[in-house]
Amino acid sequence: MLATLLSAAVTSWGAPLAAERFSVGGPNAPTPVASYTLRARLDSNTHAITGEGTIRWVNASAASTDELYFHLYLNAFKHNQTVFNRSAFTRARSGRVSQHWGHIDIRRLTARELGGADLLPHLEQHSPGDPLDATDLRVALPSPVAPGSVLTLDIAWESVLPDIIERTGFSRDFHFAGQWFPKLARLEQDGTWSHFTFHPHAEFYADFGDYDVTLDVPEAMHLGATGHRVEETVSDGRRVVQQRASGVHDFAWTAWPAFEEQHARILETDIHLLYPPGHGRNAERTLDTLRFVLPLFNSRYGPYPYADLTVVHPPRHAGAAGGMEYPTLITTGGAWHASYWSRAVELVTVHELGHQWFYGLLATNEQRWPFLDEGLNSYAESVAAEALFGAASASDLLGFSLSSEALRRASMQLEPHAAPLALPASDFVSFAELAGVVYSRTALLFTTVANVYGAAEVDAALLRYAQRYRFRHPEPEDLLLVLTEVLGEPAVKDIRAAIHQGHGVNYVARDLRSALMAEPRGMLPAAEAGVAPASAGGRFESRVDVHRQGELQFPVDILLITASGEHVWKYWNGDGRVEMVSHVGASPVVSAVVDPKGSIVIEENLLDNAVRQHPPFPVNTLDRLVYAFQLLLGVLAP
Amino acid sequence: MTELTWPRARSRRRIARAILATYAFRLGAAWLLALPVVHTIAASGISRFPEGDKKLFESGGLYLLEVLQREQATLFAHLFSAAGLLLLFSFMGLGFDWLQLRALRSTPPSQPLSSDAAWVLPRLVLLGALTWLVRAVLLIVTLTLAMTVRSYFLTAADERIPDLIFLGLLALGLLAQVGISVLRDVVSASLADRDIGRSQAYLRGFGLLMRHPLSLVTRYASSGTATLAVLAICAAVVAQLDVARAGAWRTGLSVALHQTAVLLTILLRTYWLSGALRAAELARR
Repeated sequence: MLATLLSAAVTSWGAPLAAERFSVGGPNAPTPVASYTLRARLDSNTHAITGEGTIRWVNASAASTDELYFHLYLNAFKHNQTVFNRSAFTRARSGRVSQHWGHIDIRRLTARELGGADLLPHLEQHSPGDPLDATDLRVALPSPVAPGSVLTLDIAWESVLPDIIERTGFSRDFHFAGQWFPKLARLEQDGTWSHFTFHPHAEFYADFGDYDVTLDVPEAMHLGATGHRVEETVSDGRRVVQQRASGVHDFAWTAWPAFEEQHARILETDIHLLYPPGHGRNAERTLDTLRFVLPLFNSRYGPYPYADLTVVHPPRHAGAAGGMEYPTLITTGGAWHASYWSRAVELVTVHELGHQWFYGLLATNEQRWPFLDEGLNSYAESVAAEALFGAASASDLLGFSLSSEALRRASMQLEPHAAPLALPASDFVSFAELAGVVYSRTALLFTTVANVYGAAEVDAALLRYAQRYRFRHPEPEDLLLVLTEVLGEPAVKDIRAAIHQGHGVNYVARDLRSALMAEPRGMLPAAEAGVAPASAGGRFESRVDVHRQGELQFPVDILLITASGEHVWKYWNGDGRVEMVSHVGASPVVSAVVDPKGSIVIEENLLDNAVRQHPPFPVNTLDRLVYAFQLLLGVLAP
Repeated sequence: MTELTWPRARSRRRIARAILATYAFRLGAAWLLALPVVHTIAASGISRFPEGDKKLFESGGLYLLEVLQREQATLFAHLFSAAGLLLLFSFMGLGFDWLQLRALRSTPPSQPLSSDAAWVLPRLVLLGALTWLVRAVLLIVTLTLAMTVRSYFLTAADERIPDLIFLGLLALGLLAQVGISVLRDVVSASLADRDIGRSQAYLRGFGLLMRHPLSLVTRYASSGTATLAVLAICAAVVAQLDVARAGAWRTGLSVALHQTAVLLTILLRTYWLSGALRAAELARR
């Protein structure tokens, strides 16, 4: 009877393992370079994960290598002198340091193809000039591994999760395991390893591979993880779950007894939604958002290729685990009472889903060029949010609305100096600067390019980029190459300057003047010679100077409005320092505005774009402020 | 007391004048408070656009955030200095409340206005200061209590439990604040009576609230609810009006709607004050 009960506890989660929507070995198929078969057990009391397994690594570069590099990201939380924790001024988003230290130690490491050589004695910390940091480890190999050769590593390790200060860790009985296993760095095509110390501003970078992971957690835990659930058994108070994922470059999972679950199918993808009690409304909002955005991103950046997507909404006490992306698993956030007008739940869902392309499928080096994932994804998020909500894409309450664009400009202007977009994450002085440049400035640059050169052209370029480099590791020049193919060199010249030099632009309208034209006088040629100037006829000559500050040269429209209400459109290709815009007509120009449609949203200052002869008193502002103070006087009456 | 009815014997013209004086005071004070901020907005460059400051109200808030961010230092300085003026004007508003109470009396005042004012206004200011003090203490107690109790429930797996407990305690605090408002206004009505001393007026107010809590709070709450409804309707209509769109008439209509709403809130308060006064008058008989 007991045996029957135990075997009956074998369940499956969702549909049977669906074939991934790519054929291994086919065009654009992911080439497994670093594949992991792991088995891990969680002790929910000590928050320790003990694991073992094998890593099958292929030297996919063109050169032999006699070393390996491992990222042991969890060691960032080992003490307060790691690069991640050491400075109060560069700590990442939360700004906090763990109270419960976390770490990861490799206990066994042998290489089958090298005669079962024990590599453990050859492990050495490799954070240059930083002996206290153990997030980047080098392993010297006894003999080189030739290009195309396979190395099978048998590995055992123990991880202890920190309390969650960012992305990974535990909070009470909630566990989120990100970067929880020893992860091979990526060997580039030229034989150099892309490895780095874990910096608080940085994210991750790894090779594609196939993951087969068996997780052993207390029975009471609800579990969500990267990939597809192959098997789930419950026995002796433990829940054992096997997950498989092909063509991914990371694996994360979460376990919490209190999770509630919803499952849905959108197109060909099974959605598994895990959320805290009381968040049913947020779960519906998340699913509604996914129903709209998943097909949209499929059409814009190529189809989502996996059979599953797990969405985790962490509980409030573990909020630092929210807003993060892993292959086929994203974490969201928001209070149970999150208002509809705030759009917070929707926007975080859109953003993290977008990372399935800009990080997941386009597996860029997030430490070296964070703009390639966060920046392009922020642009993708803005486009999707506008498609979903219109201009009021960030919030809308009783006519007072905010767009993602407006918020991005505010974020960009918090750090007014223009840094190159292509800086490494660790080169930014603060996360606010990184956010302003990497997230906001990049998104605003692409919005500007779309507004100026055509949204359809930018869409086509990003689709081509996403298709060409799907399951690959593109670099900035790859993006620029595709943009040049579609948009042409003039547009890309500006994008390149913004990416590599941090160039910006600001248009200023100044000195609007109008004067009645004088009748021709003096020693003019005779009328019969046919060169005599025409009579001024009471017409006005008007002129406004439009200055371009900064190096970027976007073409702009200039709108002149005459006293009689006539609208005159002028065009400036942006070449040169200043353009003197003239108009001759029966009525003087009384108002001029550069970029009246607000296309160049990356501009430094939008308020100096207009000039007007007699600016009106701001009656609308007065109306609102007087009303607000009138009400306040009533409320504050003692 | 069996009923709280609008006093019959009074001069409607006197009441209208008191209401208009209150409205004019609020308008003038708000204008003075707003003007420096409006000048800063005007100087920001937004008025130079063909649309003028309508651009601030465009959907998406692009230009609004731009102005707020670029002018934040000046705007904060203005708002900081406005806080002092706001305090002053709030106390000055007590005089206009009293004007309404005086106009609402069922018997004509026996003393000239200046004499009455000199007698009652210091007492009203003291009552106002006391009210603020009690309100502040109550607010601190409510928040401390609510946060402390909430913290005991933070380990609940359902996040709603601590939050709903917190909100429930805040609601109780709000109810107590309503009670203070009712008490203040009833005492104000009693203070207007020169036949009794200050302490007697306070005692009469307490006594009234103890004897007729339901009828007084109901009348206050009905006036307050109607006020909130007026403000919500006004906000919804002005949002639909969308002043960012072309047409000066939208601005005109927005001004008219806002000022009508303010006038209505003053009328609703007059309605409540008449009830408070009636209660005080009945208690005196």
